[in-house]
Amino acid sequence: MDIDHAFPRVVFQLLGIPIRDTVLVTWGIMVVLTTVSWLGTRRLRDRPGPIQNALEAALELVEGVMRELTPLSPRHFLPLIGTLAIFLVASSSVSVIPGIGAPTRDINTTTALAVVVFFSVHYFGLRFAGPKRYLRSYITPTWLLLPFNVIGELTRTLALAVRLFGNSLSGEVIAAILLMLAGFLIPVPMQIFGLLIGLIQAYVFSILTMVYIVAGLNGSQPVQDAKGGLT
Amino acid sequence: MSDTAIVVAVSIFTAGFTIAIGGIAPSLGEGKALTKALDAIARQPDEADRITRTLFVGLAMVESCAIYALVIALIILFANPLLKLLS
Repeated sequence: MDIDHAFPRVVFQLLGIPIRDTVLVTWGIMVVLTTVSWLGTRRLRDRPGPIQNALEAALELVEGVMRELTPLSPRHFLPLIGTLAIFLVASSSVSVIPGIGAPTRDINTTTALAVVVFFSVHYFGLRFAGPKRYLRSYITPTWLLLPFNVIGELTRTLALAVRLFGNSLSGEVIAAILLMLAGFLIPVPMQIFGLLIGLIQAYVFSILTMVYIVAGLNGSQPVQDAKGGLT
Repeated sequence: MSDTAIVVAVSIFTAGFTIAIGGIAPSLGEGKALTKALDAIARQPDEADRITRTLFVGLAMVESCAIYALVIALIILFANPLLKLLS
């Protein structure tokens, strides 16, 4: 067992693009999650079966956490935040399977997620706060802070990516080092600890995304839509 | 000592030093934040959920400092860009 196994490695080339094992694991997770969701939502019923029940419980958990953060309906952000949360939980749990590493230990994966977050903050800000109010968030409290707000926008995206990457990779490296020192059973507590760290990081990533989006909304309040509901 | 030996020795020393220094400050800060959060929960147990959530987000922010140090140490150890200059 070599410590190099903790790092992502190129498995094969696809049309000249090197495909790492983290990408393969990501595809696997995507297939599993999509299949489970498809099976669970194929026949929606009022008296849900076990899969639908589990899916609804997971979504309601995410929605409940989001509801305390925003005055708007969390339904607008649930597709993004829920997907991030479920994918990150799945990708940190998958590392307990021997021979499979978490996809988040590759900085390309986490950077891709952080870029998605970066653009969705602008998207939700423009959509719900309107261009004027959204752009004003860059010059609050005074226009002197404009450069700092712009820099902060970029560095927090970088921090989001590097935080997730560093946490996942350090867990894998520690597991690999322990495996070199003591082959059997000793790395298990460290794996469990790594699983806990992964779950906390999934939570933190989703919550921070939500916090950034809410900050981009710049204090927009819900408005009555045509049907009289709050949006 | 050859050039490579010097670079390798300095790299190993620096990597250890990076993570040592980079670990001290965030752990002190996180310990402080945790103490305050426990104080607050002991005083207002009803607000425990909200305090815990804020604590987690704050701890993650503080911890990113240590993570930066870790990433730099890992780069020095496993992907040292300076070794390419020698060969």
